Amino acid sequence: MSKLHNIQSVARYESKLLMRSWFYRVFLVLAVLFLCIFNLVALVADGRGIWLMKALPANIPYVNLMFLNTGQAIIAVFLSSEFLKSDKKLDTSEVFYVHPLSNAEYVIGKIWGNMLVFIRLDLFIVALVIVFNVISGVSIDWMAYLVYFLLICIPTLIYIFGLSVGFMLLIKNQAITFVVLLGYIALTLFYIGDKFYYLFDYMVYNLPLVKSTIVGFSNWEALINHRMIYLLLGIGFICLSIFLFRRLPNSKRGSYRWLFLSFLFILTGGGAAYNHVHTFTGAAKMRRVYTEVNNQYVNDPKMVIDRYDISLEQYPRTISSAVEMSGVALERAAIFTFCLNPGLQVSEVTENNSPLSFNRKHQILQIDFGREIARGDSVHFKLKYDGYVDEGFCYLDIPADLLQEEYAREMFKIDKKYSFQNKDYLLFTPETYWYPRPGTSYSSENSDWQQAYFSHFRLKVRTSNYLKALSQGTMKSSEEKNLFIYETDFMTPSISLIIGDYEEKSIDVDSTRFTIWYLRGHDYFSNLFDEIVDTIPSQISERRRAVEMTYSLDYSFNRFSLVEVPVQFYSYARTWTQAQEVMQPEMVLFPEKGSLVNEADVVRGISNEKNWARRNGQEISDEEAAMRVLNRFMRFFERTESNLNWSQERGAMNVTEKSNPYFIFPQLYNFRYNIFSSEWPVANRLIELYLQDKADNNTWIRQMNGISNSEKANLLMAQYPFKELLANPEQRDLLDNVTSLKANYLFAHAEENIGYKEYRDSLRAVLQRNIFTNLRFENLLDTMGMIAGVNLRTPLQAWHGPTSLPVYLVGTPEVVRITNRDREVYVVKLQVVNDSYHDGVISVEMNMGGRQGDDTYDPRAKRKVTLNAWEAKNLVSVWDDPPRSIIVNTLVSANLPATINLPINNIIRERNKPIDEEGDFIVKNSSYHIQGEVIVDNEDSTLFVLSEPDIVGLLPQWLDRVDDNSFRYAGVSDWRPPLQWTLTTNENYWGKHVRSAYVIKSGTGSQSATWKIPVPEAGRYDLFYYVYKPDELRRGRGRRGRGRAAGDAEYHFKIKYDGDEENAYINLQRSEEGWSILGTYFFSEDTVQVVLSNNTTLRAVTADAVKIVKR
Amino acid sequence: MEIPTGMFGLLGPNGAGKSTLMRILVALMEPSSGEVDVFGYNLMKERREVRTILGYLPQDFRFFAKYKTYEFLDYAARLSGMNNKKMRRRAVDEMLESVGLFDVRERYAGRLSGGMKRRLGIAQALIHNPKLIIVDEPTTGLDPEERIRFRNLLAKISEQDVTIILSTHIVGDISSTCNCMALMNKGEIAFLGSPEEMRKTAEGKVWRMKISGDELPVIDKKYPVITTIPSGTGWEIQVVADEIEGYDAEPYPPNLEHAYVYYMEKKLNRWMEG
Repeated sequence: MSKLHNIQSVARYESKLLMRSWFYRVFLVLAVLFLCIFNLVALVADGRGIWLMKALPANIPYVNLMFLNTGQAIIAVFLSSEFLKSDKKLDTSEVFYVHPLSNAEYVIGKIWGNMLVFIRLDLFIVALVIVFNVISGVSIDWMAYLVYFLLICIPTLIYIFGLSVGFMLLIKNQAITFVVLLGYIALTLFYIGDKFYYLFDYMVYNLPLVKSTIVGFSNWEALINHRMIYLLLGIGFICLSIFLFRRLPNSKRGSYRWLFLSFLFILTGGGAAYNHVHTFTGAAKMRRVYTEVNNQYVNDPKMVIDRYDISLEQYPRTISSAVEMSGVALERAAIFTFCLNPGLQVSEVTENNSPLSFNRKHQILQIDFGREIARGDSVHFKLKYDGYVDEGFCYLDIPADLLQEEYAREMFKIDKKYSFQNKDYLLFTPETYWYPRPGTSYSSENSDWQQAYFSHFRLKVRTSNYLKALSQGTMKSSEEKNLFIYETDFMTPSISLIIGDYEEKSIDVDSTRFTIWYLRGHDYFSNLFDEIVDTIPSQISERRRAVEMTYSLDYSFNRFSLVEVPVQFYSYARTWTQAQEVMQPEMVLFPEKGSLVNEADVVRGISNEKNWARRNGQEISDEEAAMRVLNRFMRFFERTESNLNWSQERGAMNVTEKSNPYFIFPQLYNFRYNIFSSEWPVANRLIELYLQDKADNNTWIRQMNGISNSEKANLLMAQYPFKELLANPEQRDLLDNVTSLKANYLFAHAEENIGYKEYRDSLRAVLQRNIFTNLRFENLLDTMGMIAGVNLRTPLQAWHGPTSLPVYLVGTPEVVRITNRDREVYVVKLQVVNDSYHDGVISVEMNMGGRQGDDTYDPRAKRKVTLNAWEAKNLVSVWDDPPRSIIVNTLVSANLPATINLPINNIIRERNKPIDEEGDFIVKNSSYHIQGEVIVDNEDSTLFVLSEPDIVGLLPQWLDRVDDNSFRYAGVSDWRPPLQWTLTTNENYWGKHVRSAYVIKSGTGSQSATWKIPVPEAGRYDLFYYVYKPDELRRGRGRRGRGRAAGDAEYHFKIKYDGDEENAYINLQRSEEGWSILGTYFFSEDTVQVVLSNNTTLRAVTADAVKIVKR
Repeated sequence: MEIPTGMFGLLGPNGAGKSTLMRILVALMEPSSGEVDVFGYNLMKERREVRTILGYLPQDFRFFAKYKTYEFLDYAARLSGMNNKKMRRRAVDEMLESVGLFDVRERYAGRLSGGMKRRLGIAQALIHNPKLIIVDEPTTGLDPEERIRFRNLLAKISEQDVTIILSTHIVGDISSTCNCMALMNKGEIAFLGSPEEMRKTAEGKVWRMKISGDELPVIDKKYPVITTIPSGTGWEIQVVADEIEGYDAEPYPPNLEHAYVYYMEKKLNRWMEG
C-alpha cells in the first residue's frame, strides 16, 4: 500500500512539474492547433475532407492518435533527458532521495507521472476529436477510440520513456542520448519504415491498423503481438532504469531483482519480436511448401469439371461442404489431381455411393477411381469436406516483396486479407480454392495450371444467423430464409461466395440487373440519387454502350453487382491477366462504402460539382450535380489507371500510375475467353493488352520521370530476352509495357495488311468462336495469320533473345492545301527513315482534332507502317480537313521520346495543282543532309561542351538529384529545374532519333553551353538556334499575369568567330518553337563558337542545337 | 565517534570532508570503509529504516521552481509516509506556521527569498518528525538577521528529543547552538568534544599586540594573525601562538573562533609546515 502511495506521490508531483513546464504547454498548444486544423479540413470543411475517414469512422481516432503519438514520442525523449538533468544538477532531488521510498517507487513514479500527463493529454485530444466527429455527422466508433488509444499510445509511451530514461542512465550524457534517440526515431521513421515486416515500427506508422466496419480488425493477433513487443521492451527498460538509478537502494538485493526483471521483460519482448517475424517467415515457408507440392503434381492427369453442384453450410468458425462433380478426363488415367484449400479437410469421396480412395497432401487431392478412365470419358463423383480456409495458401505466384508491400491509402495502413471467414461475414474468391478445382494452383515450373476450365455451377448455401449469401448466377427461390441457391447462366471459370448481412438496391437496365449489395446500415448514397432515379437507367445504358464500343466487346451477363466487401480485402495484379480477384464474373468486390475510391464520396461529389460549375459561371441543380456525380463514379470503372503514386528519391519526384483493379475490362473479356500457351503463359495478357490498345503517352509524367514506361520497356527488351523479363519480379511494373509492345509489334504486319480496326474485329470474331474454352495461343496465331496473310508464328522465335532496337528519323510533316476548281484538299507528307540495321514497324496516327467519338472510321487515321533496315518512306495522304498533328509512335525502337507528336503549323497553299497520289513511297537515297547546312546538337560529344558545374552547398546538392546512372536521361521538373546541366529528352527538342537537350536552372551567367560549328567554306551564313518553349511561356499565353513580360524571356548568346566576339539574343516569347534565327554572319573557313549563358529571367535554360545555313 | 542527542556541530574548512560525511550519513553515498549505526540501524544494510527517521537539508538547496511552497512540503510529507490526507495537511500547515512561511504558502518556491527557501528546506526536513536531522551548511549566504533566526529555529528543535548534525564552516553557528562538536580536517576528526572544551584548548594561546605598520608583514609571516584593527599610527592585532618572542604581547581570552584557528594552524602543524 505504501509502495503504491509513494509511486502515486512521486507521479503526482512529477506530472505537476511537467504540466507547468513551457515545453509541455507549447507542445499542447501546437498539438491541439494542428489536430483542430486537420480535423476541420479532413472532416468538417465543405467540399473537402478525407473520404477514408468519413467512410470508416474508426479512422478518425486512428489517424489523430497516430499524429499525436508521433509528437509524444519525440517530446518524451526530451522530457526524459529533462528529468535526469534536473535530478543530476539540483540537490533538491536529494531531499527526496533521503526519504524511505525505494528506487523502484521513485523511478516508476517519475515515469508514471510523465505518462499520466500524456494520457490526460490523449484523453483531452480524444474528447476534442469526438467533438469534431460529432460535428462532422460521421457516426462514432466508440470502441475504436479505446482500442486505438490502447494499441497506439500506451505501448509507444512506455517504450519510448523506458528506452530514453534507460539509455540516459546508461550513457550518462544528455547530448549523446539526445542525438542517438532522435537519430533512432528518424531512422525508424524515414529509413526502416515497413522493412523487416514493420518490426521496428514502434510509432505504428506502418502497422496495418485500419478497422473495418464489417469485420473490425482482421489482424488482432499480429497487432497485439506487435504492440506487446514494445510494451514489454518498454517495461524491461524501465526495470533496467531502476537498476541503473544512481541512488543507493534501500536494500542491496533489491536492485539485482530489477536487473533480473529487466532481463526477463526484454527477453519476452524479444520473444514477441521473434514471434512477429516468425509468422511472416513461417507463412513464406508454407508458401514454398505449397508451391513445391504444386510443382510435384502439376503434370499429373487432370479432368475438366463440366458441372459442379456445391452444398455448403456456414458455421461460426468453419464451413462444411458437399460437392457433386461431373468431369471429363483430359487423358487416360485412374488417379486424377484436384486442388482444394489446405485448411479444408476432405472426409469422404464417393462415386455412386461407394467410397473412393483418395490421397491428400496439403492442397492436393488425388482421387483414385479404381479403374482407368479413358480420355473424354465422364465420371460423376461426390466429396465432402469441412474446415477453415487457410488464406496463406493464396497468391503463391506473388513474390515475397510484393506480398509485404504495404497496402495503404494516404497515412492509413490496411491489413491485406484474401478471404474472410467469421461468424458474421464470409468471403471466398476462387483464389482460396474453397471448392475443389482441377489440377494444381500456381506452379513455378509449369504454366499448365493457368488453364481456365469453364464449368456450370449450382451452389446451395445455408447461412447462419439468417445472413444473405451472394454468388454468381441466377438466384433460385427457396422456402427457407437462410437457404440460397444460385445457378450460373453461362459456363464460368470459377465462382465466389460472399455471406453477410447484405441489403440491395437494384435497377434493371436493358435486361441486365444492376445491383449494389451493401451491408446493413451502409446506405449512405441512395437518398442523394432519389431525385434522379428516372435518369439512372439511361446514364447506365450510356456508359455501358461506351465501354462496349471502346473495346468492341459485349457485356453479356444478366447481372452486374457491386458488392461491398471489407476494406482489408486485397487483390494483386497478375502478370497473365487483367482480372484481379476484386473482379468476379458479373461482380465487382468494392471496398466498404467505396472508402478507397474518392468518386464514391458522393456527398462531397455533389457539393464539388456545384462549386466547379459555379466557378465556371454556371448554377446547377442538385439533380444535375447528382447526375454528374453518378457519371463520374461510373467512369471510375473505365479508367485503366487509378491514382498517381508520388515518390521522392533524393529530391527528384517520381510519378507512377497504379493500374486500376476496378477497371471493367475483365467483365467483357476474362470470364469468357482464355488464351493459353504452355510456352508463353503471358499470351492471355498479350491479347488483353492488344485489345485494350493502351497508350503510354502521358507527356507530363514522362517529363517528370525523364522516361516513359514504354521507353524503359524498350531498353529492357534490348538487354534481356522476353522470357527473362517475364520471370523477373523486379521488372513487374514494366511487364505490361513490354507485353503491349510485343503484341503491337507481333500484329503490326497483319494490321498493315488488313487495317487496324479490321484486324481487331477479326481477332474478336475468332475469340467469340472459342468462347468458354481454352484457346491455344499458337492456334490463335495460325488462324489470325491466315486471315491477315502473314506468318505470326515465326516472329515468336525472336522472343527467345534480346530485341534489336531500330531507330527512326522522323521528318517534319509537310501539309499543302491544294485548291482546285471543284474541291479543296490537304496533302500531308511525312518522311520517316529507319536509320538502323533492324527492320521495324511504327504506328502513325492522324489527330484530326475535336472529333473524338465520331463514328466514321477511317483506316488511314491510325495505322502501322513497316520500315525495313535503312529504308526511307514518304507517307502521303490526302484529307478533306487538315490534321491538327501527327502522332508517330516508334513502338519497339531506341528513339527517345518513343512517341512524337508532330504539330502541323505551316500549311502551304497552292492552287490548281495535281493532287498527289496516296500511299507509302519508298524513297531512294534519302538524306536529311542539306548542302551548306551544318547542325551541331547537344548529343555531339566532340562539338558540344558544357561549363564546369558551380560549387553549390551540400543541402542543395543533396536535394538536387544525385541519381543512379542507370539511365542516361533524367527527368526535369519545370518548377524546380536542376542546378547542374542535366540531360533530358522531349519531343520538342531537336535530335535525330534522340531528341535531347541539357537543362539548367537560370542563373547569373556563370554556366554556359558551347557549340563549336565547323564552317565548311567561307561565306555568309544564317545562324539558327533550336528553340524549345518552356511551359511557363506556354501557360503565359492564355492567362494574364502568369507569363513573363515579353522583353524578359531572352536567351543570351556570344558568337565567337575570327578572333572576334559578338552578342546575340533570342526572345523566346516572340519566336516560334523550332529553328529560330540568331543572325547572319560572314564566317571564314574555321570553327565558330556559339556560347549560351544561363543568364535569363526564365526559370531554366535549355541547351539544344544550333545550325548554320549558307546563304 | 558517537554522536549524542541534541545539536552536534561539525566544523572544518572547505574540503575537510564534512559534506561527504553528511552524504554518507543520509545514505546518499556509501563509505569506502567503516560502519555507521543510526539509532541502532546499520546504515549499510538497513537503509530504509534509517531513511525513515532521517531529515536532511542539503548544502546547495535549490528548488523545482514550479512547486508551490505548500506543495513542496506536502510532497516531502507524502514521501515520508504520511498517507492520511487530513493529517498531512495539518502537519504541513503547522510546519509552515512554525517556520514563518504560512503567508507565502501559495507562492511558487522559485519566488521565495534566500532565507525563506532555507526555512522551507528545514521545514521539509522536519515535516515527518525525524529523529536525526542533518543540516549541511545551512547559514551560508544568509544575512545576519536571517542567520540568527535560523540558528534559533534549530536550537528550538534541538530541545526536542532529536539529534541535529549541523555541518558548517562558520564557527559562530556552532558556538551559539551546539552542545557537542567535532572538528574535521582532511577527512579526519581532529577534535571531538563540547565547544567549551574546544575553546579551552586555546587558553593562553591568544595574544594581543600593538605594532607599527612596518612590523605587520613580518609578524604576519611568523604568526597566524586573527584580527587586525588600525590603531593610531599602527595596528592592534590578535595572534594565535604558544608564546610570543621579541614583541610586546598580552594574553587574550580565547573564543571558539580562536580555538578553531589555533587548532587548524597549530595543532595540525599547518602553520609550521607552511
